[in-house]
Amino acid sequence: MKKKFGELTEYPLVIIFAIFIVAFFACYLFVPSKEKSEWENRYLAKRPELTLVDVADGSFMQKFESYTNDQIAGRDLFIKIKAVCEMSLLKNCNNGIVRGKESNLYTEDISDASLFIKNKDVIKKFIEQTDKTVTVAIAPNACEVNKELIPVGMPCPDQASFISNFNQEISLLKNTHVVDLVEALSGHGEEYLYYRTDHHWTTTGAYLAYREISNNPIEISTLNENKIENFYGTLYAKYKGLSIKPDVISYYDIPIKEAVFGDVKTDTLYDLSKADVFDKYGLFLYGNSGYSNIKTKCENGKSLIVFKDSYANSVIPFLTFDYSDITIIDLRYYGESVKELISEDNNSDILILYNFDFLNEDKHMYKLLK
Amino acid sequence: MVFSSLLFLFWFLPIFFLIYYLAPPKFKNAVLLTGSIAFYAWGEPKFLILIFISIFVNYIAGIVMSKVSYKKIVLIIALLYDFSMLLVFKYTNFFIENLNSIAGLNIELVDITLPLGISFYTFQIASYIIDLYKGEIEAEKNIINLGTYLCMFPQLIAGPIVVYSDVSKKLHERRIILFDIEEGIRIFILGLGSKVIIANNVGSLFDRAVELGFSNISMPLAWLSMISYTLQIYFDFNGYSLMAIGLGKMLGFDFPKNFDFPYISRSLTEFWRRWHITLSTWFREYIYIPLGGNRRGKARTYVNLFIVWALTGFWHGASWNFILWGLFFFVMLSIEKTWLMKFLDKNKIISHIYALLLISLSWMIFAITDMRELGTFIGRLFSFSYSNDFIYYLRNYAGIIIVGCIFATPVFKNVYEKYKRSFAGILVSVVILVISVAYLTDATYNPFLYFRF
Repeated sequence: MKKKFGELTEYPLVIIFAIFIVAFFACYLFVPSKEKSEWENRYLAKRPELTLVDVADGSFMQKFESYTNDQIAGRDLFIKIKAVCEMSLLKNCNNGIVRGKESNLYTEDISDASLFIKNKDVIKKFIEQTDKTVTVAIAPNACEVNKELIPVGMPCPDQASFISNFNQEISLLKNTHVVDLVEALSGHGEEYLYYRTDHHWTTTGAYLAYREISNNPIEISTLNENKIENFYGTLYAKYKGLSIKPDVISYYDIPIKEAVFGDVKTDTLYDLSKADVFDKYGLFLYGNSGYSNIKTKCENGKSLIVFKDSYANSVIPFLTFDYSDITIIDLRYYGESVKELISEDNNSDILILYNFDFLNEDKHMYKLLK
Repeated sequence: MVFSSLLFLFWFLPIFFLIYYLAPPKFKNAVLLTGSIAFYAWGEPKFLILIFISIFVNYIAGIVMSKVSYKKIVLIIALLYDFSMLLVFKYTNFFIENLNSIAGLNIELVDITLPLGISFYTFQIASYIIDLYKGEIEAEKNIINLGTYLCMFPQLIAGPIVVYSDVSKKLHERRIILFDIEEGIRIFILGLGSKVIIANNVGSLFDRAVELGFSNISMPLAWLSMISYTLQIYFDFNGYSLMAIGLGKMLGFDFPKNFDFPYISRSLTEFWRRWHITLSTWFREYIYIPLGGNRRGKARTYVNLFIVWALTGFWHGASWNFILWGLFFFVMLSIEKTWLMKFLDKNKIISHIYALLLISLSWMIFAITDMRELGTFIGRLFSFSYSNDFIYYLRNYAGIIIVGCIFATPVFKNVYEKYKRSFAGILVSVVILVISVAYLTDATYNPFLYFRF
């Protein structure tokens, strides 16, 4: 045995390889599983229970593989190593996220915008069926507004023309008010309108959109600004490359009477506990809930129903100066009937506020007609 | 289960090899067989029964053959069974489709999925039974040994096609020495890196061209995607073969080499001496030579070549484009045989360009199943159309394409072989291993091209 052991030292690769695979194996066995991956914003797969039924239909094997992939020791480090390798191959893309000039990140999109067009038709139908005044505002994404920063030839649909066709078709319908956000956001040169590391617009971008939506916009200079530094967003979470500058989130002090955001009852617009976690953009309106309602300090008695995605979360705080009562519906998480909601009160305005990428990916829009 | 997965690396490998190395020599085959069954059953338990029956049928056939005088009948029955299984499970729908379109019938397609590895293990077991008939080997008396031969997890799913005579000695008695284990680990890691770092990385470009639609891509992008597919299929398949050979060495076996730098060939004839060597050897040994090879006159030689290449193509997939692919090689190899070879031998640079160009084009016939799409793609290659779509892809793939091109030549190997046991050589292995694990951890794309066959 001793001789064998001595011989083994002549084969260092055998020792290294054996230690390597056994160490990871041991980690699977003895290190407790992690609950969630904060920066990916998802729960990690846990070790599945061994049951005959699951083995028979193969689901055990699949679950076990996901568990193995999700719970590997040093997972974050390995993901980082891969990102660095991709960079050293001179790639500007990792996991579908592309690094543009000034280390801005973008999502590669080779779609033909067919889902966008489908969702547009749903929105048109909705407007035709309702007798209320509907304001429609479709936000372009960073790849459209920061065109000069994206890498040459990066696949990205011509958002400006899709949105302009959309707006044209909507404006032909009666009782509509179309807001041209492409126009509103372009031509602002170097201004910080989109986060570099996140797919949302900044509060500055959101404010520009608000100015177009509102009839009598509040001046931003009259509000008190707060800043949260060190924000690494969703695009960074996938990209993971080196030397990406973090973003800064701004939010403005805007008092309200009271609000309901999903299960949360509160009297502020911002969930400041999010300032310390990865998902910092989630501080606006406490993230996305199916149904939210804000009673504002505005006394004009007007009310508004907003159908929206997360882009709207940073716009709505400004709208509290224009409406006394704002109801916010995120169709992804909304199970009730939209028809009933609208027929219940008859003097609300309606705002439809989505970003291009969302409309080009979302499969819940049909609920608008329910 | 696939080799290039964390599951295989960190669960299967440590558990299996611990048991395998600790087991006394006479139980090693049983351990290997059990491990291989677990390996196969993990992904496809329902087709295990096919392998079991195949082992059983051929085992009995072997025993019977060694005892009786009507060997030929036994051989025919065994081969009929082996190849009818392959035909039924791989080609049924192909035949139905063609029957429908030729005779205007409307027979419904059947719902069959291709059993993993059937193309490979059918060829392996056929080699056993044919060699037995020819009297070149003795019948295997222990069914566990025969089962171990056929199911051995390194080569069960995607080759190399190991014929029984290659391993029969080691099946009965083998010494496992540290030197071989270390060499095996080294080869396995090289294969893992080929597959995970190069093939997966470079291959996504061709898929992207498919997504974009061939009619929408510029001429430079068409060329880029063809180059990347050419690199992908080599590093993918060679990577798999290397992993298999490495694992074989760790088990105490010596599997034959499957690739020998095919892209440095100067003719397609040479290419097929360097590409998927175990497959072309199999076709030569068990189809071409029994048909008479080149010993029955010129005309007969070309007929034989035609048959071999049509079958080679058809083996790769149940679709006309694979047959076309095989016949493409039949035509080109015949042309080379008659006159082109002399010219190629004299012109070093032209012959390299010629071979690479035709090999790449052949991969497009291979990759694009739909004939009309293939036409569109080849049209794009020579469309002289320009748009800046390729700049982005060039930027993202140039690095890995260059790495691929370097590793497709023996440059790295020549240096590495000298220093592989030095500190630097070991460091290279470890770095490749760690980077491979990193890519597997963040894997968005990890297909095995050869699993479809």
